[in-house]
Amino acid sequence: MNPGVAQHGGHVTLVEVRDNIVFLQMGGGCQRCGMASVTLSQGIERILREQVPEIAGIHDVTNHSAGDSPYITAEK
Amino acid sequence: MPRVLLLFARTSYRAEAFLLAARRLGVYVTAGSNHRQVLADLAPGSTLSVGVKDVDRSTATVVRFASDYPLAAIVAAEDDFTPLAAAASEALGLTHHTREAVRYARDKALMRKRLSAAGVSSPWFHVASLHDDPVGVASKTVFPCVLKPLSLSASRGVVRADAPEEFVRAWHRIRGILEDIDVVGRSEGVAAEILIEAYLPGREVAVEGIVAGGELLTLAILDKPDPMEGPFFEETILVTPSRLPDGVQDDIVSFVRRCAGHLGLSDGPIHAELRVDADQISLLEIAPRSIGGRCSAILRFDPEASLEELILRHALGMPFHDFVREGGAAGVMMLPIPRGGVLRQVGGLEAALEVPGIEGLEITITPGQTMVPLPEGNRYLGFLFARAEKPDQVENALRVAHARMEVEVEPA
Repeated sequence: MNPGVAQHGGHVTLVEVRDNIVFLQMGGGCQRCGMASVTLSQGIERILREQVPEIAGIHDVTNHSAGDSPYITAEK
Repeated sequence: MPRVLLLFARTSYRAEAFLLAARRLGVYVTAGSNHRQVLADLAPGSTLSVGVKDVDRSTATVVRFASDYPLAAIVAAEDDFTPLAAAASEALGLTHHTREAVRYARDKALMRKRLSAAGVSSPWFHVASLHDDPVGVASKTVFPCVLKPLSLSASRGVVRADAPEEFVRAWHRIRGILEDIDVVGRSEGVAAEILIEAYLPGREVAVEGIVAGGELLTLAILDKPDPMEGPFFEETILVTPSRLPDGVQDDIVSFVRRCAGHLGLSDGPIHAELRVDADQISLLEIAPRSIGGRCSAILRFDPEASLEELILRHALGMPFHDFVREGGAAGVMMLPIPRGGVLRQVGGLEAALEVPGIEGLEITITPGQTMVPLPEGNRYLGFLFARAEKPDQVENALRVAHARMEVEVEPA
């Protein structure tokens, strides 16, 4: 997946897996990106769940407010 | 499990809230956007790339998609996608405001004409092209008036004029805004048209609701306690429940119901903005969508549901009428941009969050980004949220917290 999100200057890191819950951290263009939640739920989560059906949940532990180069900034 | 197509602008504030609501309802989601998802090829069916300008073409795309992934509902998070949501819903036989009703509600001039024809008291108005001579247009105008470019939304480009010379200045300023975003150059039509209407005095309120089968369910009336008298109309504080007398609130709801009916808004969310001056209630606009920005976060319903969840429930034919707004008061401040320039930093955030009643603060402009105030700009600095027992406490908390924030701006 990282080559995909890298197209927008982003990257995703697996922090840990605990009790079948995956903890992920987003960085670069994904951090604070207005579409990060879509990338996470409609991309990363779908792919992970399809390939690893045992996954019980996915948590984004990113501090999005600290992002300084989001690929897309939300507007009014 | 049913599948819903959620349509977001690529710059949407609402994606996360709608995705969370869909997850809580246990429905499949396809996220449709004018932004191609970078992982789309690895997760077929989870996203759909559609534009907002060519509605017929995007409708065909949605219909083709639905033949592989049947859709139970289509919901647009923002205004720009409502024509597509209406057209595609019509093509697929799904519950939604009709295409015609969405057209009437989105076009401020059409809305005024339709409501006037139906006998709804409306301000005087006329439509001019920005290619006209502004001095000539001003000579046919009664003051004070408000100039509203038809191609822009929210308060962008909306300017009050109290005299002909102010009118001409406002006209050229709006022309500059439209030229900057290349509207005038691309079109001689609606995009370069401007609605000129009477300035409506009074307090401003917003009404949030869902129309189901032509029946309006009012979810909240929100006061806007800051006077919005121009020359620009920046929104700041919204507080619910309203502090207007019960009888006035009843009249507001009845008025919105009439307006929605005359425009043909039959199935979906509505967000209406009105002016209330003594006994006179006037409609500023009624949009075929829910409240914008992050403001929906202040609307929570019992038993535990968000506004987005109620919208999805309606679209999917699930029960939603028994949800009531949580007790107590809630409010949001859309943090204004103090002046144009490059944002250096926003200080005092911790002090703002310590104010009793404040429950959230989000700065949505990144340091280093250029900030443009109204009427040229189209963004807020961020959002401040409060919750308390009474509306006065909420309003006070928002003002105190905002006063503790220090926005440092450098010249662009």
